[in-house]
Amino acid sequence: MNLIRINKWLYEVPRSFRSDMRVPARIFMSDQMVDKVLVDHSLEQIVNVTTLPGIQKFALAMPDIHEGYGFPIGGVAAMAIDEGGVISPGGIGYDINCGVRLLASNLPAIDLKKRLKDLAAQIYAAVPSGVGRGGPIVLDNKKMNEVLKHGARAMLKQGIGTQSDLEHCEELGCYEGADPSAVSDRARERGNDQLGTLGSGNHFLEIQVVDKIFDEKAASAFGLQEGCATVMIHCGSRGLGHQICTDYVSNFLKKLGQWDIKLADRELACAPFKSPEGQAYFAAMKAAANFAWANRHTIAHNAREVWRRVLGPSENLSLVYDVAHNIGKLESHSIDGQVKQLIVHRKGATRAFGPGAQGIPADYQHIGQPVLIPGTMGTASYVLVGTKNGMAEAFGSSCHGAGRAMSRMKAKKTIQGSQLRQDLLDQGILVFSDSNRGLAEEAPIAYKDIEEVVEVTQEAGLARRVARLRPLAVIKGD
Amino acid sequence: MQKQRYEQLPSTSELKLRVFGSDLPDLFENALFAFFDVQNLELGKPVSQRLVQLTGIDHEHLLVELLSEALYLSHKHKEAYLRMRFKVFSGKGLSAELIGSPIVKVSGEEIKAVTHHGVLIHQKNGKFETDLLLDI
Repeated sequence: MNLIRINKWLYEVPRSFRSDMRVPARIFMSDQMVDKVLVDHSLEQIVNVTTLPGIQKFALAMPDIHEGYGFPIGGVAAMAIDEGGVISPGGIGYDINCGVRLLASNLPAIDLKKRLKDLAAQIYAAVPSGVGRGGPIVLDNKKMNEVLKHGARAMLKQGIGTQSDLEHCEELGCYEGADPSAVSDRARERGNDQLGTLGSGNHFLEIQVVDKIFDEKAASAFGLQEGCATVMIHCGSRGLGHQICTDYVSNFLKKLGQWDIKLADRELACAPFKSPEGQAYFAAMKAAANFAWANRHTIAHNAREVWRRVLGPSENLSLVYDVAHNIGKLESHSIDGQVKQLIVHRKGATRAFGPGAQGIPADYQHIGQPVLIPGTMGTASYVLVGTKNGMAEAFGSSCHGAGRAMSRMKAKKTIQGSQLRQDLLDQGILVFSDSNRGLAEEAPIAYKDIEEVVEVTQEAGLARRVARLRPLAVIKGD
Repeated sequence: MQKQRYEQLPSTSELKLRVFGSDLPDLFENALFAFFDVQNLELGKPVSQRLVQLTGIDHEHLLVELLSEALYLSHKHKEAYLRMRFKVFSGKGLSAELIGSPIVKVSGEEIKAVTHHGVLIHQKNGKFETDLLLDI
């Protein structure tokens, strides 16, 4: 692999490395990270991304890059829709709009201590989690169409959540242009009992404390106070999103010949963005994104109800922000002095728009968009803020988490889930999960160092630290 | 000696399997078996036969289509399909009955999707094999 060091935080694989590359690949990483990144096939995957039609400037890898399928996890690629640019479901991910929602309180965490166990236990009961687990909300076709079309707004109409929840959500909780008819019956069946559920794997709900503030002005704008409690939710579009990706990858593979597209990897299956097929996928992707926003909106509402019931009716959780890290967004960016319409794929990467950018809440315009970076159980999560530099360097994109460093197989062999549970308890972190196996797989040691990932993100100018959040209680499925 | 039907391989974030078969239909059936066996399921006695009719651009695509179909049917009917009976099997299509057992309990990973990543059916030492990467 021909890796050129651009600067202390940025490496490049030049176009000359392989004849089918349309643009270079750039990887945001420190010198210390290079050996770890070379361990898996993530660099080969980001080079494969450079071969996609219409790709602009660079295929980008964020500091939490690791091997995925097709795109690496932590991959960003932007295709010009007026230059034959393609849209690739694999470049968005199977869990469409997997993302993070952060809610903040005015309650000092120290006041929470005696009631934490009861609070977490009641949230665990109120928010279904776990393998294939459905929830109490079952959507018939009509209700499903409402959710797919209107996202979190459909839930607000039913009295779930608040208007301000929409105002601080990416796309105001609804990506306009979703088409429920582009969503298959199978996808609907897989999602019809999953609204308001967390799912399994690395999805979670955490009660946290704002451990340290790095940027007082931004923290104040976001409603974050040092020592006060927060709630973070990480989940996505559940089985519905997975089925949509499965459906369209299969469809596109059957049609590649008619578009004369050659793939370096089948999981890069794509369609010209402006083709009927590309537009159908985009409309279905928006529908799945809306489902995910409705999902996190509902989970937040249920958590908030428990919060007030346990802690008192005057206690509130207000939404800081909700942002996706598996999504395709139609955005305008300047490329060599020319403004172009791009379909920006972020797979395991978070939008990180700087101050003044269109599409971020009015009360955050002067600061920039919150960037929510969940850590692992037992380690910190971070709130960052987007920068103007990041808009130029990375289409306004940032990392999405710590990134896995160890396979699940190895994690299960290395770590005892029951011991991990005790170790976390010894650190003062309560864990609510039925599965020790699931805990072992998600152990902190299985992930990269979040501090290192955030440092590179900041030093590379993609986003900068606002606050560090420390977990107090973790709720997750198996 | 019992033939090896599959093995689990390390993967950073997903579930990776290597599946073996004496011929292509055997490979497909072993892939189906592996898909459900790796989920550590407690099952009841076989009770159903689900007919599937699938097409693909080649064998690799067809294999992913089969497992994706099995995933969907498993969710819909709360069943696992460890065995199948082919009616038709060709380069780009198959018709088969999947023998379904009700799922009593799941102790392993939840498989959310079957990816095309690394699926390349080839012969090695007289056996057919391919890798599968499953999204969990």
